[in-house]
Amino acid sequence: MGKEQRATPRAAPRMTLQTQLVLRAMLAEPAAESYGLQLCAETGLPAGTIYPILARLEQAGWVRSNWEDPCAHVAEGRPRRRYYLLTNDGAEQARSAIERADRARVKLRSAGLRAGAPGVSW
Amino acid sequence: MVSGGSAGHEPVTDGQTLADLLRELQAARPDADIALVSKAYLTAESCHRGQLRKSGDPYITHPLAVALILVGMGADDQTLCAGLLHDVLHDTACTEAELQAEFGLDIAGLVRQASGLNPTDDQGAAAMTAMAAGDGDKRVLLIKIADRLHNLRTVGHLPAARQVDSSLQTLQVQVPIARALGADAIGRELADRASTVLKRHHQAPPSASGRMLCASAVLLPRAVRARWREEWLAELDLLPTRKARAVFAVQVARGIARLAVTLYASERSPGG
Repeated sequence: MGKEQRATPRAAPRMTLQTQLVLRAMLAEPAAESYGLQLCAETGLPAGTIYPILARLEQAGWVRSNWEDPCAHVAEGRPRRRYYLLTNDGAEQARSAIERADRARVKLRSAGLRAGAPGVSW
Repeated sequence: MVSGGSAGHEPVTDGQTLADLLRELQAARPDADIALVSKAYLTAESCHRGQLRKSGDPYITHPLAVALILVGMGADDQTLCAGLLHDVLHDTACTEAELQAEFGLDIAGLVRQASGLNPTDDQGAAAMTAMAAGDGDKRVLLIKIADRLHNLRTVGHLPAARQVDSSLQTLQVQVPIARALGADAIGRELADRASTVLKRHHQAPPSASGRMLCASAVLLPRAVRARWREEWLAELDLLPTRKARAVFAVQVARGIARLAVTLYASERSPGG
């Protein structure tokens, strides 16, 4: 009867560059639902990358997904879509995670410039 | 005015006649108001005279079948009459005032409400779902459900796109409503018929890309497999060319291991 792994059932997703791209795309209009193929187009990422990221974000509680309202797709005569939407908490966390990632990148870049300056003479 | 025929006022309707309705009604509910139900039938028959179903049957076959379904659902006399008259406001010159004068406020109100709920538009479907969950006259929903059931029984006469739309909607709107009303047998028949129609139309040979996506989904946890398969097939449907669909299927297949790992992990975690 070890400790139940209850403490962090919803660990934050890893902030890979691809994950950041997906979050940025969703944050552009945080209240709008997106579907997988749309996110492929918006991020330029392949489908095989998008769906696992969405699944991880959903698992972390940053995103929730639901089937499209029947009225919409029935009227258009196509199969129903799975839509993804940032949760309120998810949108907040995503924003701060992206800010952190951006700050880290800026820091790296400026460090790189200083370190790289002598190298320019090569 | 189309040929009224000379068969008297009881046209043969797909084998079913007013006599069948009255017999079943008396068997189900000996105290039923036969005179009232007969009057509703005769009114509907005269209003719809000359109109045909897509199947070529006289239009009255439809309200009659709806009423027979309603008998099976245990509907009261008012609901049966409204079922017989449910299309007269929409499709004939009959007015609500005339219905009120002939049948009273209750039946006329049921017919009006049933006519006002067009399940093929957003508001109608939403309103029906709301009615099933909340207040409002459930008898109106019984009529709408019986109406849909007979339409599905005769759906073969509609164009393919309408068949698919109607079946999809049945699964999402009418089946849950039937269950909410406790009409389990009707719900089952609706679901079976809608599923059969959908299967028939998807049997247009599944594309190579579709088959590849279905094969990929087999690697996912059983509980969520159907969801992802449906999601991808819907996305595939949006892609304009065979090549784009093939690329999509290959990409999904490439990512399937990562997705499977994520999904199996969330199956194990208590939060997932």
